[in-house]
Amino acid sequence: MRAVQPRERGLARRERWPLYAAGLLAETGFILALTAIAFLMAVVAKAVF
Amino acid sequence: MMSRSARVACALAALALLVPTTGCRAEGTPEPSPNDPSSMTLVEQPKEYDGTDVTFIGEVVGEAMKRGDMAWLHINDDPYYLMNVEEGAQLGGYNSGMAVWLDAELTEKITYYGDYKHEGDVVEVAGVFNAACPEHGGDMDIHARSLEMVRVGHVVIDPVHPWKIAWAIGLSLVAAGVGALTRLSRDHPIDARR
Amino acid sequence: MLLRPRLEDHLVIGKYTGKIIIGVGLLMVVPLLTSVVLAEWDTVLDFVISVAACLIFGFGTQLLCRTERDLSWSHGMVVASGSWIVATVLGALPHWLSGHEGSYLDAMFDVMSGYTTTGLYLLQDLDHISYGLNMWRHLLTYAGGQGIVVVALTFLFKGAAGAYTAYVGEGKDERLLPNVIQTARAIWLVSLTWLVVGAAALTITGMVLGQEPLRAVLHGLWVFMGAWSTGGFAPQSYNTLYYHSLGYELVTIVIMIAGSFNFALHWAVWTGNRKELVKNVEMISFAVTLSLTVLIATFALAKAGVYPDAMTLFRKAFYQLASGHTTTGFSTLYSRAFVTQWGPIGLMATTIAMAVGASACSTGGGIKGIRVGVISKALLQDIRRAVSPERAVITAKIHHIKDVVLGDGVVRSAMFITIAYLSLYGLTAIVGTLYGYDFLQSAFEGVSAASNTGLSCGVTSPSMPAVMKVLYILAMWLGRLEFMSVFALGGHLLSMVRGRG
Repeated sequence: MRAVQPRERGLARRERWPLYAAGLLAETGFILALTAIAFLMAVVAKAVF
Repeated sequence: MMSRSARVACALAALALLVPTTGCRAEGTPEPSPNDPSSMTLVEQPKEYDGTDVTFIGEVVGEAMKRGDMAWLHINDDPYYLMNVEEGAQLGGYNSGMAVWLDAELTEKITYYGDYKHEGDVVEVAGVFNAACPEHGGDMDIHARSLEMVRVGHVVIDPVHPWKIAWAIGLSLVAAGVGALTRLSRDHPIDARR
Repeated sequence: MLLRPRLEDHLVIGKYTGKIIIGVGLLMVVPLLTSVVLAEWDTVLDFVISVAACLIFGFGTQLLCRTERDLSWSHGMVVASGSWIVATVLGALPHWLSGHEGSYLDAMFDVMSGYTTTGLYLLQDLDHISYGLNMWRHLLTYAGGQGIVVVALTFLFKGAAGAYTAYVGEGKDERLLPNVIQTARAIWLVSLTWLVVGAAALTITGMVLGQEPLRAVLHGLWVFMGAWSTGGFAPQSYNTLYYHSLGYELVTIVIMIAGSFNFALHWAVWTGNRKELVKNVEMISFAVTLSLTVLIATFALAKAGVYPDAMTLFRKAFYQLASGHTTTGFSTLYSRAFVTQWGPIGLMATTIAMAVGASACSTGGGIKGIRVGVISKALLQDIRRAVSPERAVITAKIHHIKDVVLGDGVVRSAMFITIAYLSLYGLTAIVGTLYGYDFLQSAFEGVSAASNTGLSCGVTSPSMPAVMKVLYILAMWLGRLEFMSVFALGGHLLSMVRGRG
């Protein structure tokens, strides 16, 4: 039974982590943008009704 | 004429139909809610009770979450508010209760919070019910101004059943045996083509 | 012409199913240790019994199904779907032994719900269960979301050719990297990074909100698992309403939406291609359908005057719709409140969001964004063809990591699976109605099961008819595996009876 060793394949190399972090942050940003749009909808809806 | 495989399949299917009907637990009489309106009534008719004063009795579960001077409690008035399943309470559906927002000081009165090892204190709170609380993101809650102790909770011991010990030991031995056999057969492979 | 499977075929299927069950047994060691550390002795016994049962099955099949043959394409599909059934039967042991389930069927319902990352449950008195059992419930959704086969690929399959088809059989068919073992590792890298970041964020938020450290850590881990796996199990009966916090809601929203993304998309964005977030057909599809359903629900709720101001309206509407659309199933509403406060339009908007679902090759369910994207584009293409001059050549492309030409084959398979989902949704709605439930509520609940969402409007309950429990179990299973591997299993069984040879 082999344990997970991403390091073997170089996936978890140190140099790659800034790239991964940027990716995670980009995803979070995208999601928060969708959240902000939903908030705006609520503001408009409450103004209309 | 059914082949051997088909007969095996039918036998397995018949067995499969047995499984769901086994292990059914006897229905007794679950404990009713001490409240009127109960938590279920509040959820069913939120508009009717919105903004009204209610008293609510139930078991405090989980923990008190203190936020500054105030705190959150969760009080359950379901069939398990006096006794939990481990102590032998009859199964009577899901948990049901209300979230309560109150002075953090009042939570000092509480000794036990309900979880696996504890049956929580049964308390009585009085306050205003909100169907969609503006202060708390639209949550259904009760803003309580008082908390009284009805019944102090207790420690619960989930009894260790002897038959479980027997099965645990028995099955472990079988598993170890089968595991060892598998290991042995791997070291001494037999021709797979029969 | 159906060929009857030979003994060798059964041996291979048995052997690999057994390996997966050994994996399930090993997974159970985590809740076992949790109970040991926290001195929950009766629960410890429950897990010892269950681990032993899994190992007996697993090792037993290794002994009985001795063969050197490798997994082939058709085997892989059968193993994927079949192992989920066996894992459900055995995985239900801890639930049933705890005494919190009304019957073994109820226990299996909960376990299938866990593996398929649905989140509906029949367990009673959740607020009093052991930490060990709660660990098992949440681990089930995490393992199921990652894919039981992916878990096995990582540890147990040693590069079998059929490993890829078993992986496909679980509804993931993206090759992130050249070989399937590397793909599994990339999936783990993304998942474990999010696990560390997400669980830490939730733990810290929990402590700030007044939870004591041990509970904050456990709840943080469990709620992360429920969010990332788009499962929707939560440690208390109040679900995520328990935390009463905008901060907690925002963190779970980020994690659940991230968990609903295609793993290939994660990999593209994480390896420098961040523009993919706005160019990808699934991202565009998700943004559009989410915004539309949120819009409908928000305006309907505003008109009905359910919530007093914009912030509360936003917090309730967006949370439930995001949870539904990503097929998570977390809720900051009591189940019945969907009916008593939201009403028909809110129920409908949520049902549509659940039906559409998450991205492909993710932890989520539903029809999936890629199919919605493919079908929409194909429809536009046909309309353009109809209004263009005869000699004009109209080709449509979609962008999914790369530009892909929309050939008829792609469109056809997207339509076939979409029709399969819609049929399943319809079936569950009709059966519920036949049993006396309101049609809209049956549709909501049935779609929730078949899309593996887990939001409930109160139909699911321990006193639900047994036929509906069985139907929902099958719906959850079919929905999660996207039909094909279950059809393969059905075909295999049929060929045993009707095949020639």
